[in-house]
Amino acid sequence: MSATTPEAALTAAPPNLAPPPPSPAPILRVEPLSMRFGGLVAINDFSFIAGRGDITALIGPNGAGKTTVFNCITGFYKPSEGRIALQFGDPAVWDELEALTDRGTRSAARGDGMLFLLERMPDYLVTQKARVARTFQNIRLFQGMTVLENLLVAQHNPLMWASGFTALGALGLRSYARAERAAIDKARYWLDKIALTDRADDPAGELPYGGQRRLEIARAMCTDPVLLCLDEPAAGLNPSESAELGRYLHSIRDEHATSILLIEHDMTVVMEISDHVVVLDHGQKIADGTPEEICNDPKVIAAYLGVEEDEVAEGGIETP
Amino acid sequence: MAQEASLSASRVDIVRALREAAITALISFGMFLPLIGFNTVQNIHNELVLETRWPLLAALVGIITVGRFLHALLIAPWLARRAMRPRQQHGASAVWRARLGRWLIPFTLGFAVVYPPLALSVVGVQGAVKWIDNFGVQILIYVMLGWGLNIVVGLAGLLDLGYVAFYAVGAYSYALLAKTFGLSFWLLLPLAGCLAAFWGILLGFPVLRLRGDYLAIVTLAFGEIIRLVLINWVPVTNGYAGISSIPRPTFFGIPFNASDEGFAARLGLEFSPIYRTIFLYYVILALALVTAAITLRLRRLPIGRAWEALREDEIACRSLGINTTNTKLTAFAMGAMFAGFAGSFFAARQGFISPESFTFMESAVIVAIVVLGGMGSLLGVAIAAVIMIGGTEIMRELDFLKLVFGNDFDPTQYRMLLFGFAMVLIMVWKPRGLIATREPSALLSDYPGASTVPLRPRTNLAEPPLVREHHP
Repeated sequence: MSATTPEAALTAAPPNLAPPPPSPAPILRVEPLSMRFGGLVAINDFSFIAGRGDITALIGPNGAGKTTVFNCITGFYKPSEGRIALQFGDPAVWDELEALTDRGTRSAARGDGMLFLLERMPDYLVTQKARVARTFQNIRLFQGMTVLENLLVAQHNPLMWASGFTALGALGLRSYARAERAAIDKARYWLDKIALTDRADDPAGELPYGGQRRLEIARAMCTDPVLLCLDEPAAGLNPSESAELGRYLHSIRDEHATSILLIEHDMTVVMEISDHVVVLDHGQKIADGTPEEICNDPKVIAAYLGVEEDEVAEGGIETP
Repeated sequence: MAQEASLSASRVDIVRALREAAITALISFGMFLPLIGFNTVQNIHNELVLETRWPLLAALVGIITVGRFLHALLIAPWLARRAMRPRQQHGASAVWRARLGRWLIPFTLGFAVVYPPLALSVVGVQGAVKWIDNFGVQILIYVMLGWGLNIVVGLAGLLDLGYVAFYAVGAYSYALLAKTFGLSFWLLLPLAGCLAAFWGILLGFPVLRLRGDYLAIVTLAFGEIIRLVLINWVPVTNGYAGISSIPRPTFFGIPFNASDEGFAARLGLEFSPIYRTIFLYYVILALALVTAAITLRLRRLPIGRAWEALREDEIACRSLGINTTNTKLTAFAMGAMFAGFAGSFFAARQGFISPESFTFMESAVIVAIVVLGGMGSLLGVAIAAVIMIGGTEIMRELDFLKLVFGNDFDPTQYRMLLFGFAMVLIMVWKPRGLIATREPSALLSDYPGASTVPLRPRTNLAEPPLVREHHP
């Protein structure tokens, strides 16, 4: 699967100038996004596009602002400036973008297409309505609850509907029992997929580290997302676990029509699994393209290895 | 040879114990010298003079030193030996514990049901009123309050130090509405619960953004505000004087009095206050069991799981699309509603209420019951309520202690000391409360399905990892 945007043109142009041109049907468009904490500029005029059905990697040195971008997309932070648009269903709804922006509301619909402006939504609605799910850099499982319960909590909203906001469920109606059964079957599907079925009834905190990482991703997938945001999913995994993670993510992308946006430090993982890479340094985009292009970009190498500014300008470093 | 070795080992032990005892003596002397050693008293000329109490100081330091010596010499090595011993005995105790766990709940329920006739037959009508009212009803009120607060603190993890405010709302709702409009207890019981839940939501809205210690402080303040309103809004609440002659509950319309229309006369019995007491006992037992049943049911529904998830990790909840504000408010309202039920029952039982009954102390006792019992465990909360409330009531009965300590001795004065002592002991012995096991709300093994992987039997849920610190 190749990237859907004409990245080649973008990488050649100086960064942070124009927003990227609209692509055929991206899933997520982030346009000049800025995030300031008091006087500190964490992200400065950052724009990128995540293609539908792509695995988009967001990389950069420590403190570059990657997690801040994630927090803006998932509603945990309200960006100082910028627009974050997400679409699923009929892509024709993208035409509504400007009208929606001017209208000041959160979402627009056309046919079965839905368009959301994520920066206007509180965090829980980003997951509930716009179907964006996320994981965390430091795993955030419900440690005292069982593995199965973790996956059931993720299906809270459909189950709340099925239980008539508790009233019908408390009476023990059959329709709720059916819905719960379906939720458990879905949980079982994901447990089989992450090979944790035999530990379903153990507390999540007792799982080994790799299992906890896989469970957190499965839990996010139980919310039926169209975009899955993973914050360093390979951190702390050994090489074979990382390879397994890559297969797991590919199967999520291919079998569940879910696009993936991920932050990662492990370059082997990034280069192996991603279709499109965006590089962030000091809150600014310094490169955007396919993994091969990124590998050979002198600015990226400079950002990672830390060379003098003029050396980059002169092209003074050799690409490996 | 071996004897010699053990002898020298024990000599080393004694030296070590002596050294520890000496250090303890020094520390306790330093601490008690200003606290116990000196005492300021006013003499006849209204002057403050310093008195010394050397014998008392010596006695205290002596007790502590000897205690430490014995602990270092005997108890600590014994504990160490016990820890070294193989697990064999633990296995036996686990079987015993499982057997106990299976029979404890049916037995406790059965005992609660037959308690009034049992008390009647053992101590007779005169004594039974005290035993059923002071022990049975009083304990069950706190069991119910504990179970109600358990939803807020134990399940949702919101530390509420002002719970007694909702108890007060329920009590005053019943008292005022029953006196003003003459409505019946059974009509006002749900109404009082709804009013308390309404206040729970109203107070909850502004404070639920706060977490942990901050939430605790604000709820504590709300508890005080409600009490101060009750004291100062004299035209409605009659202030400190409280509300008296509150209508008592009737047996579905039949009053418990000495008249011809009364309960005893209708059944052709001799009038006695015991009938009302027994009736009240069963009412509060039913209310408490309803609380437990609803809690158990809700725990298995999405809302209950969301409460527990909220306790574990609020940010993860939000990332899963859970509206945490609503979830917290439902927990707050649900807990407040049960406090409202208990409050209206309390007013109906006492016939008199005043702000005195709704001090911070009450909130503290209820929180202590929930924490000591084990957060989230209904059985643990019930046991803790029996121990703490029953224990303080028992202290009223310990008249024989007056023979030992003199006529001025009042055991109930030491209630708080014993409370604190129990708290310290539990925190040392079982930091997660009396019953720290958590029963999962759903088990995959209960839902046989198409999975290809065989299920492994459940492993030790008895000792889950310690809860992470919740610091905002």
